[in-house]
This record gives sequence, structure tokens and C-alpha cells, in this order.
Amino acid sequence: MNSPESGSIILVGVGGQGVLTAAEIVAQACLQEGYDVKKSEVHGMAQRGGSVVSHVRYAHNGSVAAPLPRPGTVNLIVGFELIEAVRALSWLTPKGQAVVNDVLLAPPSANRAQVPSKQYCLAKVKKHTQRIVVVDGEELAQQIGNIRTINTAIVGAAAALLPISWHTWREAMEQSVPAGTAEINWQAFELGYAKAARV
Amino acid sequence: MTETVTSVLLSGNEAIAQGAYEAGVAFASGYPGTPSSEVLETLSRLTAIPVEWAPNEKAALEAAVGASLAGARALVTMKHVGLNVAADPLFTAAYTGIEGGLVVITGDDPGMYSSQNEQDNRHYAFAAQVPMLEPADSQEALNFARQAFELSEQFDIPVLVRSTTRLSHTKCVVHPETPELLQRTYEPAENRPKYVMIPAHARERHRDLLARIRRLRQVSNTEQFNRIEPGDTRLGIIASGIAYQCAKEVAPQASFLKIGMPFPFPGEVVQQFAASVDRLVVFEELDRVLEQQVRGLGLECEAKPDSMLTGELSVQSAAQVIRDEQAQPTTDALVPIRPPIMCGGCPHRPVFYILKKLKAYVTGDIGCYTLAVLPPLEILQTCLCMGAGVGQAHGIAQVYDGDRPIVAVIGDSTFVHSGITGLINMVYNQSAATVVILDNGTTAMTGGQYHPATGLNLRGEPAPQLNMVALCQAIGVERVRVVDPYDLQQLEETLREETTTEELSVVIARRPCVLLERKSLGRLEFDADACVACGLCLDLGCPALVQDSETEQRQPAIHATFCNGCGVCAQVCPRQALNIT
Ligand SMILES: Cc1ncc(C[n+]2csc(CCOP(=O)(O)OP(=O)(O)O)c2C)c(N)n1
Repeated sequence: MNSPESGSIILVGVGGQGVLTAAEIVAQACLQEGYDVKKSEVHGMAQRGGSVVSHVRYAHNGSVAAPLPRPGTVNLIVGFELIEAVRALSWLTPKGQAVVNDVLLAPPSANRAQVPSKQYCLAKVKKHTQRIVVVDGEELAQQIGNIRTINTAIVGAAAALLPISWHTWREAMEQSVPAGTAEINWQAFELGYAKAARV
Repeated sequence: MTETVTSVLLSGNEAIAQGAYEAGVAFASGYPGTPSSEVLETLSRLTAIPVEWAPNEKAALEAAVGASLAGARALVTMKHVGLNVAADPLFTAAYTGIEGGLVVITGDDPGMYSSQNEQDNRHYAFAAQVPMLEPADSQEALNFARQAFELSEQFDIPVLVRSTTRLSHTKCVVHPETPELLQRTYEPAENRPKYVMIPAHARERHRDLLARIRRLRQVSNTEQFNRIEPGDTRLGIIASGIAYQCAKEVAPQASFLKIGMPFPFPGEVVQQFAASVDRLVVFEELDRVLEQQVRGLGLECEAKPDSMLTGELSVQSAAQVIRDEQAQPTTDALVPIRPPIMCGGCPHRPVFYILKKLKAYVTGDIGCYTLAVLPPLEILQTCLCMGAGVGQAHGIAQVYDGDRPIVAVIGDSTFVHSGITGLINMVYNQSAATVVILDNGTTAMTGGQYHPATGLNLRGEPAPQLNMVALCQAIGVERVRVVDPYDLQQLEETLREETTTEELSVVIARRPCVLLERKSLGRLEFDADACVACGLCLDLGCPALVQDSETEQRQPAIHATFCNGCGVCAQVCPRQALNIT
């Protein structure tokens, strides 16, 4: 499943971070690029601060069968939060890549001794990937002047690693974000893209 | 949706709504529950027909039976356990049959992402003798939902469509079409031998049902729903739903019998398929429903190990069963888990904080408030099924002689769903327990749906609002009190009084869910010099207050993003170190 003709992406984060909207943009872009696509998500408790996970699988030849890939076969992790990015590592292929948001949110239920440091998480992700792009989503969103664009900035960074054309991303964005916010989200996307393209 | 052959991404639930819409559905009802809730929400945006939240699944199904009786195509949606509640009308509706097509969507939850059990609702099809369709992706969900109405009318029978969480919540490429325009006038049917199930009529209808199932079995034995996909004859796989997709990925060259209609079971097709392959494997999620049917035909087959009777099936489990691959060892969690928690400012939290202080024995129910089972509150002792907490408190109070207050907590949506009858039982049999209704003005757990006590209907339009105080009084509860859970002192006084009286009492803790309005009530400030690190505020378990990682002491740090300024922690603090400004 790992030829350029097909691929699999996992988007992870914490409820409230906009992971599901980001996954929607990615899935729409895959569809408009002509891929068959399946996007799966677990969102039962998304609003209550739990882990949020979405898988997007795409393929040119033949269709995607199972909604979930096999562990160890995912090409790209898009981590909106570092603990969640580490949790997702077992999905990744040895040649996988990761785009991670440089933020760590300690689970309120965990006692302090259990909570790993940012450095630990980043090192773990580095060790498991061929390429890692670290983005400070909050900083990028602040440059735009709208803190709600963190997730699209991160999608922008991920876009630099995906076989989808610029034009398609623009269309997918317009379809997936709330009416009237496409422009500002697109600015955030461009910043994220530029950031990843430089790495 | 305009012309055909547009490609859109739809979730299984959205596709089911689209299919019902294309079939010309004229009435829809249901009760929310993961993974089924989005079906009605989507449908309400597609069409102007009545799309309703009912107080519970039984009321929903009965209303749909009524609409069908008048000739309308009617849809009902619920989660798997919802069908337990609606089972009574379902079983006999199979006898009576229908006028307008009647389709019941049941959403099963293998892996229990958001459920209290993982029952396999395929058993209902066999038990109630109603045909069941089981799609494996969104396009099939659309097609099957549409065809279910035709099948229902053709065979005079309600039809079950079974989804699962993975199917309901996976978006796939779908080609929607324009809806059918049914030219029907609706007139309630007068056919007493068919619709009045006195024993004399029911005996006849039962025989008729058996005949209808025999005819349906012929459909089941065609390619329409149960399709043979010829391939390498050395391996034949019988599979359905998401399990089919997983098996397909592991053995794309194999021969497949894809089951889309598990009941009536397609015995002839299975015989024919089995005869054409060397090795026969049945791969299905949850119970051994297909496997037992296959074996019942006298056929030998391979199937999954018992360990796969629980949880979702995956591509790995397919590889284990079909290719005999070793199970991959699951890697240890490197990082702490992140379970869901009650939101910052959740109005449920102070109620549990006080009940803990009062050393109450708390029987629980299902909703966001079930999270009070987790640390640091750890106060909820039971969660069985919707409404059960009320009954359990009554039973305990009738036999328990000790001093602990016995308290049932129940959400507003759950109270309307199935708490009222239990409360009538308590009145009638003179219970001394206390019932706390956690009235946050919404069905928060499943995403914030309206219900009869919210004053709004499914579309968010004004609707008559059930008055819960008047209701409790009308059924004979003499002590009914309403409190604001953010007012900790009043809350404590009220709960202390009501749990110590010798009579039944109802306390309604009323405050909107923080996800409803998302507005800040003030800014929380922390005065570190005043703090004595007693940790009382941390005992609330609010995500806006975490133990300060700089110190070993139980001193709080504020997570402002989670704080709505409810001020409960400020009331808990004995030193005024926490203040709302
Ligand atoms: C028979 C049945 N139907 C539906 C559900 C899904 N469900 C679980 S709790 C709940 C209602 C929650 O609302 P409420 O009681 O108001 O509590 P809240 O979540 O708002 O605190 C629903 C619909 C279920 N578990 N069982």
C-alpha cells in the first residue's frame, strides 16, 4: 500500500483542536485529486478532552477497502499534540514522516510523574521517522491574527509532504471550512506549507 | 443533490439519510445514540418532512409504525441498545406488517467506543423474523437504505438496516441521486385482522409472517444482497460489513461470498459457494451468527478464535484468521492515556462533589455524568442501562437499613427517556431514596441533541417544553426542589436536607451544559500567597485546575483555556486563594 499511488495518513490530537476539520480538508483534497478515499474517525467523546484520531487512506488504482490501515503501514502522522503523536507511532512505516505541532497538553487525569516532556516526545517521533517537521501552529496562527487557524496551518505543513496539487488544496479548503473563513484559513495554510517546504 | 454521478464524501450515517431521502421517506423519528445520531440530523437538512427526536426508541418506532399505517415511508434510527427498548413493538410489527415501507436503522458499536455493551443486533433479525440488510461502505449504506423501503413494501414487513460505528463514521466516495417523487395520499389503514393483534388474529399473522420470510429467503438467495465474487477457488471467504473490507484487503484474489442480508439466511447461495471452494473461512465481527448458520447447513468451515468475539475486527485480525499470521504484540503505551473528562465548568461536577462529601451511595445512569466514576470523584457506583439508576436506588433503599443516603442521579434526557416510570414506582411503593435530575438542558453525551424538556425540536424550532417540576408533582412526589449547582452552599444545604428526610424527594440541579453557550462567566485568578496547598480544589477534578508541576504540593495551576469562570473552585477554597474577577 505504500507506492506513491496510494497512502495512508493518521491525524491525531485532543478534542477541541480541530483535528476532524483538518482530516476533512485532507480527505476532500484526496477526493478532488482523483483518488479513492476513506476517512475514518473516532469522535464519540471528542468534545470532552479525549484523544481524537482520524485515518485517511487514499489510492489511485483499485479502491481502498478497509477504513483502517494495518499498524506499521501509515506514511504520515499529523500530530496536533505531542503525546498523541507519540501514541500514534506504532501506525507508522519505518520510512514514515511526521508533521507535529510543537505543543504538549498533559492529560488532566494523569499524575505528573507520568507526563513526558516535550523533548522526550520529539525525540521519540524523530527516532521513528525518516523526516519530521515541527511547526509552532500557535505562532503561525498568531501571525495571521486568528488563533482558530492553528489546524489549517498544520494541514498546510502536511500538504508539503503529500502528492496533491496546490490548486486542489485550495478547493478542498473552500469546501471544508465554515463559510467566510476560507481566506484566512488559506493564509494559515500557506504559512504552514512554506514552513514545511523549508525543512 | 442535483444530477447523478456527482462524487461526494459521505459518512455511513449521511449515506443512510441520503438513501432514505432518495426513497421518498415521509416521516422519521429516533432517539440519539452513538453511532446512529447523525442520520436524522442529516435527513433534517435534506428534506422538510417531519424529522423528530422522540423521548425514547419505543416511542420513535411506534410513531413510525403509525406513519406507515397511513401509507407513508417511515424511518426510525437508534443505537444497538435502543433496539432493546423498541423490541416490544418490533416483534409484533413483524406479524402485522406495514402499509408504507418501514425501515429501522440499528447502529451497533463493536469495541464499545461509546456504549455500555457490544451486543450483536443481527440476533434481533433472527429473533423477530425481520429481514436485515448489512452494508459494508457508504455507497452500500445509501443503496441498502433506499432498497430497504422497497423490500419492506414488497414483502409487507419492517426491515432492519444494521450499521456499526466504523461504518457510520467512515466517509467514503458516494454517488447520490435525485429522490423519488412518491405520489401518495396518506390515509390510515382499516384492516383489523391485520393490525389488531388479539390471539385469533395473531395466530394467522404469525403463519403469514413465516410465509413472508420463506418468500424473502428467495431474495436472499439471489445476487441482490448476497453476492458471490468469483476468484481463486482454493480459498473462499464468507464475510459481511467492515469485516468483509478487512478480509478483502488481506486476500484480494480469494473467492468471496459477501453477505449483505444475513437474515433470512441465504442457505442455497452458501451451499453453492462452499461447493466451489477448497477452503471455507467465515470472517465476521462480534458473535458467530453467520458461522453458526453455515455449520447448521452441515458445512465445515474455519472461523475466528474466541478472542475476536469482542472488539472491532481489523486487517490484522483478518490476516490472523485467513493467513494464519501471528498476532502482532501490541506495543506498550509509551505515554499516559487521555480518557474523556467532564468539561471545565460542567454543572454535573459540583453535584458529585457534594454527594461525595455527604458519603452518599450513588446509583448512576448513562450520560456525561457517568464520568463521575473516574478519579478524583469516583462516586458513581452503577451504570447499567438508561433509567436503571432510579430503579436501582429504589431497590437498594427498600432493603438497606444503614445510614448512607441512597441517591440516584439521572440526566434530563435520560429522565425523559426512561426515568419517569421508575420514579412512579418509587412514589407508589413509598421509597425513601433521593433522585437528582442533572438538568443541563441537552443530551450532551451524544453531541447535544434537543429533547422534550428543552423547549426546542430536532430542527431547533420552539416546541412545548416539558415541565419537570410539575411532572414530578403530578405523579405524586411531594418534595421537589430546584437548585443551581454553581451555588455550592445552596446545593449542599438542599442535598443534605433531601437526603436525610425519610421521604422520597427529587432535586433538580439546573444549569445549561457549558458546550451549549460556551460563554465565560468571569476570569479565574489564583493568589499563590494565600494558598495553603490543601488540595480541596483539585478534588473537583476540573481540567482547568491542574496540580502545579513546579511543586510537589497540592497547589493548583490554572489552565485558562478550559475555564469558563463557573466559580465553583473559588467556593471550595477555604482561603480565598481562587477568585473570579
Ligand atoms: C437505550 C439507549 N439509547 C441511547 C443511548 C445513548 N445515550 C447514552 S446517554 C444518553 C443521554 C445523555 O443525556 P442526558 O441524560 O441529558 O445526560 P448528559 O449527557 O446531558 O449529561 C444517550 C442518548 C443509550 N446508551 N441507551
